[in-house]
Amino acid sequence: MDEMTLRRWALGTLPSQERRDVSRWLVRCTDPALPALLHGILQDARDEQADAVLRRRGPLWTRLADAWQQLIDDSTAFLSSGQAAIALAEAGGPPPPPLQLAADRLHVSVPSGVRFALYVTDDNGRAETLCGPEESTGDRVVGVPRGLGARATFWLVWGAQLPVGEPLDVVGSARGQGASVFAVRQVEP
Amino acid sequence: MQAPKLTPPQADALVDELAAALEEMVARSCADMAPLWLDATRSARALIGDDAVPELGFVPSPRFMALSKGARSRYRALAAWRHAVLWQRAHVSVADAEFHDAMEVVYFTAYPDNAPPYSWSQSAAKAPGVERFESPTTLKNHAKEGCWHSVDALLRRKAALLARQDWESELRSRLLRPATRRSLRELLKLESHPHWER
Repeated sequence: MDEMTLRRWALGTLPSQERRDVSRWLVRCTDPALPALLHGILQDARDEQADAVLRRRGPLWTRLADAWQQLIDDSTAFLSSGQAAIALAEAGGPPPPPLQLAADRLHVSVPSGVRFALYVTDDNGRAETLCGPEESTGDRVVGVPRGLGARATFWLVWGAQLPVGEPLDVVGSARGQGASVFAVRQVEP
Repeated sequence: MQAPKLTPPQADALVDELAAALEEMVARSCADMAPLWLDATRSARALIGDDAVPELGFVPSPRFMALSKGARSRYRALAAWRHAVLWQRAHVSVADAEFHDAMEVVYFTAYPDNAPPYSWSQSAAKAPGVERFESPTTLKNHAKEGCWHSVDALLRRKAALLARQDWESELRSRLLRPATRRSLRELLKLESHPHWER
C-alpha cells in the first residue's frame, strides 16, 4: 500500500476491484496512524478538488474575480451593485457576479465544493457573519438582516484554505489565508 | 493459552463484508466516516487474526498528518453506527416506512459538507428528499424513530451473537460494540435504553 493509492481510494478514482482491495486493506490495517493519515489525505484531496472546481469554472469567472479584487484593492470607494453591473458588462459579460444584492436578499453564486464565507459590516464597521466558512453546495439566497444602516457592505470571501466551521475575522485574516474577496456596498435608494 | 483465531475463509469473508459496508457507508454519507470508523473499530479489527496488518508498511507524509483534523471522538460512534447499520442491514428492519425513509434521508444520504455534524440532522430543510415529509421537523422526528429501531435491531443482533459462544460470533459482536455505545444516544438524541454500552 502507498499514499497515492490511498488518495485514489479517497477520491473514488480506482476501478471497482482495486477499490475493494484497498477497502479490504483498510479493514485489516490496525496501525494507529492510519485514521489520521486518511483524514489528512481526504483533506488534501478536498482542497485540490476545490481549486479544480474554480479552474473548471472557466476563465470568465476567474477573470471577473480577479477584476473585482483589483477594483476593491485599488479603490477607496466601493462600488454599488449598479456600478458593478456596468463594470462587469464592460469586462466582457454576460456577468455572473458571485454576490448580488437585490432588495432584502443576497444572491450568492459560488461553485459547489468551494469554501466560502459571507459577512456584513454595518455603518459603524461592526462585522457579522451571515454564513460559513463552509463548502458551497451551489447557488443560494441569503436574507439581509434588518437595521444594518444604508451603507452596509457585504463581503464574500472564498479560498481553499478557509477553515471550515471556524469563525474568521472578516477581510484581513481571509486575505492572509490567500482568500479572494468580493464586496458589494448597500446604497441608499 | 493460544488466542482464538478465525479460519482463513472465515477471516476472508468477514473482511469482505466489512469492506463492502465501508464503501457503502462512504457513498451514502461522507468521506470522513471512513477514518472515524477505522478509529472506532481498531481494537476489534486487530482480533481478525493473521489477516490483520499491524503497521502501515510505509512512513506517512508529515504533510498529510499535519492536515488531519485530529480526533473527533464523539463522531466515531456515528461512523460505527452507520457502518453497523449497513453491514447488518439494520435499516431494513425498520418496519415503519416513514421512519425508515426519514432515517435514510437524514443519515444515509450523501452529505457533501463532510464536516460536523456529518449528517443532515441540523440542516434538514436542505436535505435531498425533505419534500417527501410534512416539514423538516417531521423529517427529524421520524428519523429519530428510525434510528431508535435500527439501534434496537443492532442490540438484539449483538445479544444473539454473544449467545452463540463461538469465536467468530464473539468477534462480530465486538465489531458491533462501538455502534451501540451510550455516546450514540446523545448524537442521535435517543432516549435511554437499559442495554446501552458504557
